[in-house]
Amino acid sequence: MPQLAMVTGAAQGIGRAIVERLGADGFDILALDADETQLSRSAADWREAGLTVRTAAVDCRDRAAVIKALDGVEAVDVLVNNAGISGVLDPIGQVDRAACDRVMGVNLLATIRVAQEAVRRMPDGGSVINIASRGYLGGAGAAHYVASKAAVVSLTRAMAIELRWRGVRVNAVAPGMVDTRMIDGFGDMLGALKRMEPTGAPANPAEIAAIVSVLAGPDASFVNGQILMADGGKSLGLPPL
Amino acid sequence: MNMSKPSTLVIGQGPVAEAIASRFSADVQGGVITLARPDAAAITALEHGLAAAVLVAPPAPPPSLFLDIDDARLDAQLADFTDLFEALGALLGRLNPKGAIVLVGDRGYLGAWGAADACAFSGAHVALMRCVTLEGFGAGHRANCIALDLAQDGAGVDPDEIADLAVHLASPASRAINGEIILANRGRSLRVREAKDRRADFAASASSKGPSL
Ligand SMILES: NC(=O)c1ccc[n+]([C@@H]2O[C@H](COP(=O)([O-])OP(=O)(O)OC[C@H]3O[C@@H](n4cnc5c(N)ncnc54)[C@H](O)[C@@H]3O)[C@@H](O)[C@H]2O)c1
Repeated sequence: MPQLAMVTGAAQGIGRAIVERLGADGFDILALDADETQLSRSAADWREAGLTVRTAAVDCRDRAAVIKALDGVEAVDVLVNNAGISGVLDPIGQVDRAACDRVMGVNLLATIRVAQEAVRRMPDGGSVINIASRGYLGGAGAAHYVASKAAVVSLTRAMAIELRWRGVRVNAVAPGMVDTRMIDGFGDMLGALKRMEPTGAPANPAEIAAIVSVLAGPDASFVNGQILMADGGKSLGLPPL
Repeated sequence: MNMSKPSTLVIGQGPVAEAIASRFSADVQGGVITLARPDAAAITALEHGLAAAVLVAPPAPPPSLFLDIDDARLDAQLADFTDLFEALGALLGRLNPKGAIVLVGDRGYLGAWGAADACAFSGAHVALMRCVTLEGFGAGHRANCIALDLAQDGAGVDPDEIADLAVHLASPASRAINGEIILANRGRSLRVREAKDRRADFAASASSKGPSL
């Protein structure tokens, strides 16, 4: 019987690429997303491509809705906690309380809630992959987003320390800039930010999905509690002026 | 709030915050203002600029296994975090040029057993300190973190030695240090003795699915 991979934020961007990659790897998929319209559009493509995908339009902050989406699911072999939102690039003093709550609520609290409900159904050998961001290292602007992703990194380490006794591995991928609608939010700064990437361009979502595929499978059976930086080497620093 | 001759602000409750406030009153010129909680409105309303601010984060909640963490506990930590977030934003607006921020948190950002939620928020604290460092760079501001052991590490904290460190990081004497995390646990993270003491524990726990908390 195929194993089941649960992917959040699956309707587009990196999440959609992960669904397609894990589907091609032979997993059945449980795809969650808050955007019902986009999710059903993607689901039609997935069906046409012959993937076995069950979808649920769910806001991952809502524990009861996540539990409902798992109704009848006996085992979640792989969880990819990918759903996330970005924050405006404003200085910390200009980010209001509601924006901070929203970003932390989706990027951290929903990640914890989904992970708890999935891990309860995870057999020995299960794998959790949290999508963090290179940005967790810090930045000037969007401190709430940076904090939420640093929280995901520390959560990943703590979950790995605890869940290894259940036979569950927990790792994170920290992407640099990836070509999805999320970076459209950078507006006028987008061109300059792209030029700051070591390769001069953002990654393709499939490049992130490929790393998730390795961490999900038995080839990474000895990898636990790690943060895999997938940023073309940008975090190593800038070249001399 | 005590408002005389403000120069240093100490925010937080408990023995560490108290020791830091009293060390500043004894050692440092200018007055000390204390706030029990991170309160952005009160910070914005301060009459004078600040030479330094020390923010002691609320203590991590008691240990809990990952699967037992409930929503009320998560919401409470998020509310504390958002207060701290707003307070840091307000502080950057009140800090004098070359002023220093010291954030006293814990070592949870490295990961720990039975504290996944607290670890996550600890990671968020460290990230905020780094963002504040980068955002305040132009004004010559500095920001650093002091990371204490978690309560479940069992070793306790000597508030006076943390106060010594906080005063140092808040003063120009530490001007070469910026955006750093100082693990203030007397080297306990090396865990040499603990590793020896707990070898038997671990052998037993491997068969019973994990050490007890
Ligand atoms: N694009 C980048 O440059 C980049 C870089 C680093 C990290 N990331 C991270 O990768 C992940 C995916 O981002 P993306 O670029 O594909 O973004 P995206 O906006 O293209 O896709 C995110 C998806 O998550 C869904 N979503 C958002 N909030 C949700 C919620 N509460 N419940 C359920 N679904 C929700 C959205 O509807 C959307 O379909 C995010 O966690 C993001 O922070 C992205």
